[in-house]
Amino acid sequence: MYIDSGSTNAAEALQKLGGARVILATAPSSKAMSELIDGLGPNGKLVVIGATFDPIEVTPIQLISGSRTIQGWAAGTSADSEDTLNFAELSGVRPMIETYPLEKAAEAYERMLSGKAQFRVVLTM
Amino acid sequence: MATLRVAVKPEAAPMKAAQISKPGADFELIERKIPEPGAGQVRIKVQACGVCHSDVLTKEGLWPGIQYPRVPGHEVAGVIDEVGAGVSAWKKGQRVGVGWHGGRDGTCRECQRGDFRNCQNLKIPGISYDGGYQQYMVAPVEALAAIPETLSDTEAAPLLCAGITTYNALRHSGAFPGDLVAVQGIGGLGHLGIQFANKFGYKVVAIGGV
Repeated sequence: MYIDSGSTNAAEALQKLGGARVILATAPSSKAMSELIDGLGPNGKLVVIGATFDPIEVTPIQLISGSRTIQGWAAGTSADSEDTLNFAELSGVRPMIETYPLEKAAEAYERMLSGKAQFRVVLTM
Repeated sequence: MATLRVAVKPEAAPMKAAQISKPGADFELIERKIPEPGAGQVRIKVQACGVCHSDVLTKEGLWPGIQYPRVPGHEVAGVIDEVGAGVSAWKKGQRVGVGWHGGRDGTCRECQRGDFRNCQNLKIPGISYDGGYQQYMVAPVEALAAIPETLSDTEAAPLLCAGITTYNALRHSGAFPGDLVAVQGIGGLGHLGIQFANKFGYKVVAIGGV
């Protein structure tokens, strides 16, 4: 399923589906994350992995009602990396990438910052 | 595996690297000496390196204590081309990846508890030492992950930060198969998070338009 948060109230849309058990927040936008907290179901958890320095806004009442949680998560160890790679091999999960040669690192970085890449920018040597 | 032999010893030939000379500076393409692995380290001939939004930390100097010049990059896929003293578990020619977890001190309270992810002196490639925006890099053995044969270098690289972060966050999230799981943001991380969530058997909602 797809929700366009630009034209739809995503939190309400999630509640219509019963409320999310987990929302994995990947885009580095604290505003977008804050707006989704009301989309969590009972005991729902917002897992934050999109890194920004702006504050997420939440009221105690939002967390208390439904015993909701906001949690951060940072990557993992090399064993977790191997689990990820092996699971990708097992399941067929693959990144969709745009490649740039190392010489065009600056251009590649700008492309990543633009948010328009489909979907990961990768440098090749 | 076919290998192209070059007459020049790799140690004597320069390599290319894209570095940041100071916080906020533009990328500089430089040539420099190929680094040597120290004890407990390997040298990786880098084949591919993902460009992560967190590279902004190095580019703009937003992480405390970065020493410049610094070569960014923590989504590295390549092949070991030299091993340092005392390295027995890894061999030349092995395909390896390096991600955000670029090394630990092994002595802090968290490491003593086995909680390596939260090491108080966690090393991050491209921040604590030169990362993957270069043709050769050096990394400690505890940062290495073996790459399965069926994954290409450019497929493996994004899995080493964007991939592991979404995969690991989801598998520790407490969601069970059939649960409603939303993935906010359909970018470098999100497009992998959606795929993992689907394979984990969740009812998946992708939220775009952020």
